Amino acid sequence: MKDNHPNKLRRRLLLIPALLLAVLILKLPLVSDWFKGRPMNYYEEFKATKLSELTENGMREIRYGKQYVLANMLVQALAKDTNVTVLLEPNSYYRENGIDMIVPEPIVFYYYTSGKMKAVWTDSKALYDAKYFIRISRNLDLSIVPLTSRAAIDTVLAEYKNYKATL
Amino acid sequence: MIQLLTAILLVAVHFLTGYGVLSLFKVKLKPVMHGSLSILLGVAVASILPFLLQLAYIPLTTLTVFGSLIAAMLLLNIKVLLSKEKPALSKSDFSLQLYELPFVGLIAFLVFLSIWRSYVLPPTPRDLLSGPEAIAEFAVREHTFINSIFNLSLESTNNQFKPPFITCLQLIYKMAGFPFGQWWLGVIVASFIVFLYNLLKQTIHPILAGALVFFFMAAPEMYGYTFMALFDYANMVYFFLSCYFLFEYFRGQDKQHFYVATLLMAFAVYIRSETLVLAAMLVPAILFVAWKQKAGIKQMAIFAGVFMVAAFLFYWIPQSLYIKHYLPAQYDMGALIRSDLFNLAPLWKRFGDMTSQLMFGEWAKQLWGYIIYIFMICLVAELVIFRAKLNVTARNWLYAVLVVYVGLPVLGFVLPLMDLDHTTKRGLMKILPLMLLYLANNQLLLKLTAWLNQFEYTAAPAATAPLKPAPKKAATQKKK
Repeated sequence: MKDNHPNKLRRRLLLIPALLLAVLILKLPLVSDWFKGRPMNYYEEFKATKLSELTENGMREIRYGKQYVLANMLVQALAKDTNVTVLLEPNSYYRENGIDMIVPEPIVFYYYTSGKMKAVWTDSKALYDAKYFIRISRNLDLSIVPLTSRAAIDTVLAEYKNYKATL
Repeated sequence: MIQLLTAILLVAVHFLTGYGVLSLFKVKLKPVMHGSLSILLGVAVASILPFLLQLAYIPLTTLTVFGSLIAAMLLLNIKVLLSKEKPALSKSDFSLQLYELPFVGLIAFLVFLSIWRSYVLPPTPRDLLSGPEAIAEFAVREHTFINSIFNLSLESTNNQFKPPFITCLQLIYKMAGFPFGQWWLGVIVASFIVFLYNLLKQTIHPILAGALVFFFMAAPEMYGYTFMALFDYANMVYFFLSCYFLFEYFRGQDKQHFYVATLLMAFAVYIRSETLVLAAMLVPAILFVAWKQKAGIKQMAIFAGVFMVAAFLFYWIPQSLYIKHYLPAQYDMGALIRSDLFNLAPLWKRFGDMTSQLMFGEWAKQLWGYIIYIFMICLVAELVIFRAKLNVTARNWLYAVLVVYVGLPVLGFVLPLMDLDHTTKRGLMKILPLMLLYLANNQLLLKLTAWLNQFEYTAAPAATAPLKPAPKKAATQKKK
């Protein structure tokens, strides 16, 4: 290296092929589509984001969507009760009936509510801990049905016996 | 502002911890590579400490977690602190040539966005939310990984049994004040890209190195995982680094490189337990090199044994000891293994599907962009033009590519839960940096490098001789 001194002019000239190659690569269809669709969009998001306006809850609402909002609505609605477990409808029921909703699995529900509320699915071992049943209609109206006995839970289970509890 | 300061302090702790590890192994690299590797090693060490505290039933409080980080940093640096030798840095160690700027600028832009998004976005993958992330979140409040999560109905998931790598890092970063934790991913991504770019520059011209790293980052699936925390990106990084040090050991026979490779492979296994199989597939290469060096049977067994025992321990402790003897829930790992192992039809199908869909199909283009095509074109060109006279380092990297290419379908066959569309797809990320390192030793690119160097360095005697000290690997290998 010591014997081979760089030619400063030529070294600067190498910027031209480097630029050309970079432009050429950015023009390649896959790269171009991806670059415009992802990094440039992310950059626009970055420019539009004001750190002071970012809240933890707000970001969670944006990223987790309806599931997160539903879980926290339930926390608010049942704020008076302590140690609440809710029974959720199976997602397969929503899918088969064209209801635009996916309920989270129990662990994720617990995480979304910061541990303030537990949920069970219709196949959960602990489903008889449920104190409320959550019903969501086609227009996404929410009903909170108290479960006062094991028989009430068994009635719900019978109603959903043909639907598998799954994501 | 406080968060920025915390971020700087955390990175400094990672750097110093990793620096201590490298000093213990007496490994010295180019300063930029040494620094970025130090951070990566520091993150890996950090990812183990809360887990060790948990194993010792020590409550995971801010004091114990950060105390352990600082204690590890100091202990690993005792040798450095006692040494009179001070690291010497010069301005040229960090300088960039003008022609590097187009690609370095593009890469820096992508890395910046990754760092930003890993900071502002909450973790989203279901595998994370229904396991490591939830455990970490409640560990912050309950000071233990064995927390209220395990009192829930967990029939829908087995993610609570995932290795504690992410759980530990999420815990550390949440405790440090990062609301979503996952900023450590940005640290890994930035350090890895710096390391990779500088590594490629050692053999090929910086313009080509920049182009290759950009293609690597522009693999859409890969880029998504630079800010969406999951196991695979980190697993890819440590697996790749292990291969790099293993091949450095093959080249220079420096045992310290072998030990670093062993440690890095152990970290890769800690992150994703099935990497143990890929580690085992590297053992024939270790034995072959030892045999070529005329090592005795005993020495060959010691090398293979050390490499595998370390990896096995990092598999066994979190996946067997911890799950069986610490966690309240039980997990039958045996039930995950295919029952009809002698029916090989699913194995061939997995090979075919992975190759046709994940590597070369229309979907593959959307996943990885052009990088696999560039690899294939350069490989075929080298085989045809140079009549398969690949240099030793290129052959080593091709072996590593083959390990992943063969290993993933085998894993998918043995463990049917490793589906094609998710687990195998993400596992395939591991093959990409290996391909890049093959490309950095591809004779076409080396010729092009020689030509560019000849243009850049006026006193160059001829195109055949390497002009810079950088292509030392290529030069050394030709001797072999």
